[in-house]
Amino acid sequence: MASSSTTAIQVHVKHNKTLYKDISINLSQPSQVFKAQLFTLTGVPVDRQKVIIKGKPLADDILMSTVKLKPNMTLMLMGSSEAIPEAPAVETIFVEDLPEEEQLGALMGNRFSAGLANLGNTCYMNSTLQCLRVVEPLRTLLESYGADSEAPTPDSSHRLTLATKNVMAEITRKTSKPVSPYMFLNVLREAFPTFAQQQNGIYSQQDAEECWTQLLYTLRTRLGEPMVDLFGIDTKTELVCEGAPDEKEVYNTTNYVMKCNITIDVNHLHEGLKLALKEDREKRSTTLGTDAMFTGTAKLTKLPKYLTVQMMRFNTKRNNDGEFVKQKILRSVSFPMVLDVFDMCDAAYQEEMKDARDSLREMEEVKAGLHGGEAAAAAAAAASGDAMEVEKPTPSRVTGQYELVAVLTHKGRSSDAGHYVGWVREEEQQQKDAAASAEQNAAKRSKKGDDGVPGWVKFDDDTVSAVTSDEVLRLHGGGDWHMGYLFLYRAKLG
Amino acid sequence: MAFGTKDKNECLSYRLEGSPISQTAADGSDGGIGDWGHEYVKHLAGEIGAEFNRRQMEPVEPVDPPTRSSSATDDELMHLVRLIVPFHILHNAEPDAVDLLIEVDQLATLPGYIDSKNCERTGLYLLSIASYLSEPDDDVALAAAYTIYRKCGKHQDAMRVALKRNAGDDVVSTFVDTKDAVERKQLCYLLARHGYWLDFEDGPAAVCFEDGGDSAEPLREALQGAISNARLSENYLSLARDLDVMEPKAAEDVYKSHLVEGGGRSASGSAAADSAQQNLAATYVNAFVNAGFGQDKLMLPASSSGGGENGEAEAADAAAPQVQWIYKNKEHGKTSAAGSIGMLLMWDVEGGLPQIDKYLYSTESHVIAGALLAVGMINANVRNECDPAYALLYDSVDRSKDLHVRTAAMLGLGIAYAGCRKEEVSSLLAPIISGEGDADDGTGAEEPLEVQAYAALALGMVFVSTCDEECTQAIISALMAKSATIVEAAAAEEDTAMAAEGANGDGNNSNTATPATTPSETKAKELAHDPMLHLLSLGLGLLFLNCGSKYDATMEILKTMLHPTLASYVTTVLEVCAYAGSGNVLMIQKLLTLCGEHPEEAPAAEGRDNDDEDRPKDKLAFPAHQPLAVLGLSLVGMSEDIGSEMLLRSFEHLLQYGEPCVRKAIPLAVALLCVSQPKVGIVDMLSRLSHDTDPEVAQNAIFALGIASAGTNNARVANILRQLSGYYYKDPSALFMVRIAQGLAHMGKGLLTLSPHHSDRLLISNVALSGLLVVLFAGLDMSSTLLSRKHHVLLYVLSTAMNPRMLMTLDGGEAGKELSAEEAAEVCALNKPLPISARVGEAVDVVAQAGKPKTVTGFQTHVTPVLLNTLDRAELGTDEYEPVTGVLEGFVLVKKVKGDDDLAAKKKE
Repeated sequence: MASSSTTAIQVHVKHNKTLYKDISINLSQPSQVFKAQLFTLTGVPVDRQKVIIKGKPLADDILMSTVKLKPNMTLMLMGSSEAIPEAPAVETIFVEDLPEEEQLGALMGNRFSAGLANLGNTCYMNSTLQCLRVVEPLRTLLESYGADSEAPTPDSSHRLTLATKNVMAEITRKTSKPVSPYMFLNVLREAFPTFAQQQNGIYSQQDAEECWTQLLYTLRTRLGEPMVDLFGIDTKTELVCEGAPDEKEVYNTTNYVMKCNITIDVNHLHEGLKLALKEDREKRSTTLGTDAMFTGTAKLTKLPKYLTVQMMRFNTKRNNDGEFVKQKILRSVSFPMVLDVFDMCDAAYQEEMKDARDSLREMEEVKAGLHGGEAAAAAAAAASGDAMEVEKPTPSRVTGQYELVAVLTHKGRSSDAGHYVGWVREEEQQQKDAAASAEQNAAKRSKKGDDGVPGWVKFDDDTVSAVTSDEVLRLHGGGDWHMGYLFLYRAKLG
Repeated sequence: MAFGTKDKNECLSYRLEGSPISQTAADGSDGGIGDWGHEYVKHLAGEIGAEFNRRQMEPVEPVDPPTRSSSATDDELMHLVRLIVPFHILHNAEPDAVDLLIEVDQLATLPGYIDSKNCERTGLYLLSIASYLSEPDDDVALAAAYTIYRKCGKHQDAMRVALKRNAGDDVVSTFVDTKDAVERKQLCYLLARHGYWLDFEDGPAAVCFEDGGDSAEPLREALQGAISNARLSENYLSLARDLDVMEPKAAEDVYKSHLVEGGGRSASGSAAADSAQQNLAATYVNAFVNAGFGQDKLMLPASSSGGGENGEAEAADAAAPQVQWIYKNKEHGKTSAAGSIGMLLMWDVEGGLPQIDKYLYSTESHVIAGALLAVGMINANVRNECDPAYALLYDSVDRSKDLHVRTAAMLGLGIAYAGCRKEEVSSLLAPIISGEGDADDGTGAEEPLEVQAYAALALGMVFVSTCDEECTQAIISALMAKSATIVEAAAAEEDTAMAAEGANGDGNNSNTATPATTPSETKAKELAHDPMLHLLSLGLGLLFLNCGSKYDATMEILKTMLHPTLASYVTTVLEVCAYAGSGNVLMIQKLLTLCGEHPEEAPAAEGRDNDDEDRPKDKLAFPAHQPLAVLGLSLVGMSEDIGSEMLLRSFEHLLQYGEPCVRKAIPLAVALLCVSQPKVGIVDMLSRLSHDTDPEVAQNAIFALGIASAGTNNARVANILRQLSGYYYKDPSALFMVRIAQGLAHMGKGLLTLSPHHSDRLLISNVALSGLLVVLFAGLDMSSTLLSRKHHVLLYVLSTAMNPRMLMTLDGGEAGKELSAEEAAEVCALNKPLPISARVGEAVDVVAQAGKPKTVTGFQTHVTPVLLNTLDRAELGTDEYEPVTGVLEGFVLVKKVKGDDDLAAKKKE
């Protein structure tokens, strides 16, 4: 010991919580040698080592003999081989950097459009507007309306269209501040005095379906043909006399709403739609000369871009006193996120759509990566060259397939009472954002079980909140919860 | 006779007449003083006091015809006193004896009458009466208590008094004279809680280990470990495990926004863009809530304890969000994010520093600054034998570094060595403050005020209440330099004003660069109101914290040398700091007068001159020392309950009649009176103020709610704060404060306290108080400190005030057993936690109560370790062990009572 104490000294070194005992330091060598010694022990690179001796770091390039060391003292080694934190490539955007008017909205977590303030039993109107807002082509049409103003007769329908245009523009903006649609409400009441009904001096609740239909009717008269394109459903009805199968009658009609009848047998929207297409009726038969039953079957001959479906939840019934009362059917009728009405179409129309359907299927398969993933798709694209790109038109043909974009629900026992709420699917861009944020929580979510895809927004008057698709699918009725009344489906184009 | 006429002192005169002093003095008897009963003696004592006072008042020969008693000499009076005092003490009337001795200024003789039987009651009475005595007398009382305790071998109590008196020599001598190793270790724990550092290797306290030679080495290490708080982290975590609160909490767990009306509007997850301020708040909340736990959900990689095989993968996954969070903050937010790691790993020097290490190599200076702060916080209240904090921090103070790196390193040093009186720190920082170093390097540029301020703060914390000469000089010279610039600016103002008046047209010929008078007019004022200048002054104040009248010389210098505006501020800082916790009535009155002043001319006149600059001018118009005086009221009166109550009443008056600048300081002052102690009335008051129309008052009230409930998990405050978060969701500043307050309220998941009071509320830890003061001072000017872009890091200074609010009993061997040096070392080195039952309840004031009164009421019996509230007291629930100290707080060594086995055996039979 005595001989070694002149040239070497024993110390302990502490690193993280491990104590390396009895390391001998050769006093005649520079500090790097000692650090190299520590590297072999701890694996901390020499340039990341900080050796601390009683409040002083050990300098490089000095002889260990110049350092004040005592035998058996403990040194501390700081350092790790961990990577040095780097700034992420993407800079974080801070609310404080945004323009002032966007700040609050962003802060409140509002990627959502504005809500509409309830101006006294106007939720029927608010929810209608919110649902119709999803129809982008309608907004585009409205935007161009009035600008040219080909001296349209300044009647109430003109004013209503203008008001719709304004309110649509307002609620499309993303802000947390609710919009108060006074102007629109006044014009609406002027155009359709029925909405101005009052009870005890208070405007009463109205049927949202009525509002929806009337509003679209007005817009049709003003915006013309494009509206029919968007919403019009052409049907061909064939009436066949039961007694005399040869006696047929065929006529075409244009509707704007597909009805879904609810009977004891209807559990699904699809069944209800089919049921509504059957139009059996009693009619004077020319061949039989008497009134006879005719079996009526309607087939769809033209499908719109946006398909409106109405659940026939309300019917009028005579009560015990012989008065007509509106009654609500609470029956649970489930509805799909993707609705296919192909089988309800006319055979000729089906043939017409086939091509579009094929291309749609193809697109979806590519999307799902069934064709060997992106690489194969890219290779195919490369092989066929740019020509393929040109060849492929932007899908514009209806396919009979529809995806749900908005639901208008009713809660309560009568259409003139209760509460209407609009449930709207977020637009694509927002969905991407949501997907990105969802990824971050993916780990959490996967543990809790799937909550459904986010991307829906609930517009309960001025309260706007995010909901998931599962919550939307829960609006099938059968209880006292909000239940779907009007559905807006958007065509999947092929 | 006891019912004789007042003012005549008949009792006394007849006594002197009846039994002449010479007679009793000669035979040494008590002259039958007690023959006439206790009432008589009491009365006599009263008359002696009155007579003595009369003589003090009229030192010259009385003009009235002398009464019989006045012919009695002072000696005669004193002789009577000497007879009465033993009589009182013999008859369990120690308070009376003490009162009499105080009346006749003979308290110093008290220890002569005291023995082990009555020392406890006497000591207790002296300690409690000390807060009601005027200035020189209170120290005499404490000194008497100290002597008594020392005489009776009550080292623990003697040490408490020595610390209360802030008497360094007494601390050391008590420590050296305590021979029992276990008791010594208990003293170490007391000193550690107080933040009073003793070095056993060299330094005055090393004496006790010298004679032992090598055999004393293990014991020295064990004790050094105790006074260094080396195992604080370990024990704190074991408490946490015991209470099952190890699970890290996220900020949202504290916000509980789903309970806020209006639902998840402010849910952090759904925000489209990150709000830098909200992220900053989340950083702080996360740091406060998980302080010391070493794991969280934001900054640190998930602990690999979750699973063996996928531990590494998890850590790799978690590494990504961790770095991301730092970069989800802006500039100085990054500093606070990196710094928060230090608070999370607080006290765990060996395990924590390696986790900071990589940030020290960051390319971004803000991250480095945060890492330096973190190094400081890890070492807060904890010493390590390798002393890594200084080694890591000192070269970042160098002026070649970025400004914020330097300030962070300084703050880190201040936090790490608070109360350590480390010479290296003063020789490092003092030249920076005084500007001596300016000439040395080539640039010759003056140090920025900000650097000086932070350096002064660090010095103030390290040398808290030492009145250190070198540091004082440095700060004073900085203040004088600053004062000179203010005077210059003021002179320049006058020049320009005169020039403008004299030569109306030729405004440009004056050589000052400022063409308009307005900016330069405010310049002097702005200089004098610079928040950094205030921090600089606070650094000076901290040096004299709790030092009483020792500041006189400094005060004279300041008064004469400084610009009057600055002088009034700095002297107020000095005064309130020096009398902190003293309950000095004269100081309270002085401060109340200051608060009541209404500066009239300023706001009205200036407001008319130029309306556009109304707002900043308003702020400058008010003297900065007024809000300071409000805070000072609390600071002076904080140690004593009755005084605190009276102050609260005064605050209500000030709220109604005070200037805005006085009002805004009141919430903070209220908070200082009840740190970590959310009394119902106070919470009500602060809750009311949190909706005040003056935003500054509201912000301070919110922050005060946090301080008042710090570490209590108080459900009521939590609820109020949640409501406030809904109420202020559109006001980012107020919301930030709400978040911080929420973090504070749940600090350490309810295991920590910020209260500087300890040891049965007798002592105020200067270190803890300094940390609190820095933050509360900063609160006086929220907008330019805590709510500003960069100075929010001052919040981390609270780490010096954070302490576990627990009682943990440690095994101290067997009672009454003589231990050899080796055995003692072994017992002290081990000290494993010993779960025994303890009764915890509200403390009862037992001063001068007859008999053996219960010290706690409404108690519950728990098994240690157990949490204590600020007003709680604990006593052991078992006879098998006896505690080494009478005050059960923090770490307490307990000894097993001898013969216990026999007792147990008997019980079984």
